[in-house]
Amino acid sequence: MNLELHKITVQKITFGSATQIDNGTLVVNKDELEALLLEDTRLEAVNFEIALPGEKTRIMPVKDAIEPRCKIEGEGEVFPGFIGPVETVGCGKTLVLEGMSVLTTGRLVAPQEGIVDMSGPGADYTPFSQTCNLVAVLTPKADIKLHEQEATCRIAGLKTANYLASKCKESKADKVETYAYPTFTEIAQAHPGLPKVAYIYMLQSQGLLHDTYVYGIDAKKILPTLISPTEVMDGAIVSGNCVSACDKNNTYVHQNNPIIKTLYDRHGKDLNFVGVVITNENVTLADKQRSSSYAVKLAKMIGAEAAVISEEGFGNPDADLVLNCVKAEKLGIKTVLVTDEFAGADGASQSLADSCQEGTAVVTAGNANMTIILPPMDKVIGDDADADVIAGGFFGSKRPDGSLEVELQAILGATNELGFNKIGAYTI
Amino acid sequence: MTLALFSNNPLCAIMCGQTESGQYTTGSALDILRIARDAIHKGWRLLNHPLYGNYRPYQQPFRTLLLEAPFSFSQSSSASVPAQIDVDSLQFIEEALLIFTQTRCIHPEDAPKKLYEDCAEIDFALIRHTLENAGIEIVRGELPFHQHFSTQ
Repeated sequence: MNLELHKITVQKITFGSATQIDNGTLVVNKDELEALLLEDTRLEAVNFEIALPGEKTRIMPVKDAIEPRCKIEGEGEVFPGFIGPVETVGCGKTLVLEGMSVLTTGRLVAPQEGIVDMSGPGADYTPFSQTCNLVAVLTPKADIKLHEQEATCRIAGLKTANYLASKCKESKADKVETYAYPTFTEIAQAHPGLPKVAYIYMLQSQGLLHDTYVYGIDAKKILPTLISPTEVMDGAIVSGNCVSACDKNNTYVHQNNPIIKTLYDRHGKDLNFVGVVITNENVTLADKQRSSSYAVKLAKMIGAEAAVISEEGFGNPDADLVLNCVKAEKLGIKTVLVTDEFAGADGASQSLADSCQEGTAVVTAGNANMTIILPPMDKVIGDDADADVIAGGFFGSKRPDGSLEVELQAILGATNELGFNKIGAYTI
Repeated sequence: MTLALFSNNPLCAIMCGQTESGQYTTGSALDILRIARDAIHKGWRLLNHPLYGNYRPYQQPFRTLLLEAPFSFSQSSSASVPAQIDVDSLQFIEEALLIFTQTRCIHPEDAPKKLYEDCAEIDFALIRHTLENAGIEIVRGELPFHQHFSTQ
């Protein structure tokens, strides 16, 4: 499977009469886009706003972040199962509007979180302070069930992202990146002497507001399976995870998975990247046992001698992380775990709910319980009502001067467990 | 399979009564963990992870746990039959208790109305897959309209 990503750099977004890219500026026909989304009768209202790096703007609560992409050549369309048909993607050519993100916002439930500050101390902790953001403020109809409201908002974000990229299809890319994923026969014979490394990619799958979709299928219902990294780049994995802002994998992060990117960068140099196994993080304990055994078996079947394992979420998924680690090590697959920590405000508490002796190589994405003061912003996009009931605290609190004292848990992507964040780690 | 559903979520109350040894309480999430812990000490086995959901104890007032009876369990037997403790269940519940006892917890009585309703709904949704897998008919309870909610 060979995929070219044709990347156009977006440096600014404005509203205008025709949606197009013009010398680095994405012009958006707001009325056309709003009309497109309102074709979904489950939406009561939609409004678009722009938030650019450096502005004194806060966006909250953020549901999802999506990078605009569309197919130029190849089977299917991005986000198969939602925008595209369920045909296999990951081949051909895909257009990417790089440097920007679609953010969806709008309050579905009281404890809903996800803050992006475009400037100030909070901006240091979210990667989305560095992207030009087109923010969709969504209001689903109040008389539809909660899971329908979530689906409505999720699909609105994907439609917006695909619409924007599609309108720029004829424009020339600033750069082209090529990714190849050969057959297993070729992989097994390639790069003799280099360690064969697989990626076990854990997906949040606990239920409403805690879900992930693969080709439109709820990941809760899948057995672990193999997937080409190029399929992931074409949006085969979509987020329905709206909680725990710091470590949820937004659709944008799946599209730009830094673990996949790094394994590709090092492929043929000091490792042989043999493949990706996706697995889930169900609540039911029997599912955890089944999925961990199955995922590790698949890694072994494709010849992995080592595996990077990334978690999504905390608490319950810590058990999945440990099961994957223990079972992989038992089969002779050396593991590196990527996770974040809930170690208390002082960092002194146990970081994970579960642990194992085999977990000797762990990369931390940071401590989500660390607190930060976010100053008042000139503009808030979304809904900042009842800051106390947004997760992270009940949030922490709104102080008399209008600033927010919150945990990093509330900031979008602050401790992302794919490493798509701005916190680093070193061994002392 | 003999089951016990323990919950402080009113939406799960009817289903608690429909399991052989279930219990619904208007107490806290921590109370539910302790009830489950006591059952685990008698050999009952967890069917769902006690730390499901990505909300912290100060954000989510509800907890619902489904357990399966030990093989030696018999409702009609008056003699106590010692049962093997499921070590995994014990470990999971003790890890959960450690987090819940070290972290500020919100009691359902202290939750503002919207938070109460939304968290009940989310908890009900997250336990659903486990209940369906165990063959429990999904029956939704009622929210207590007489509840005196916080005025926040």
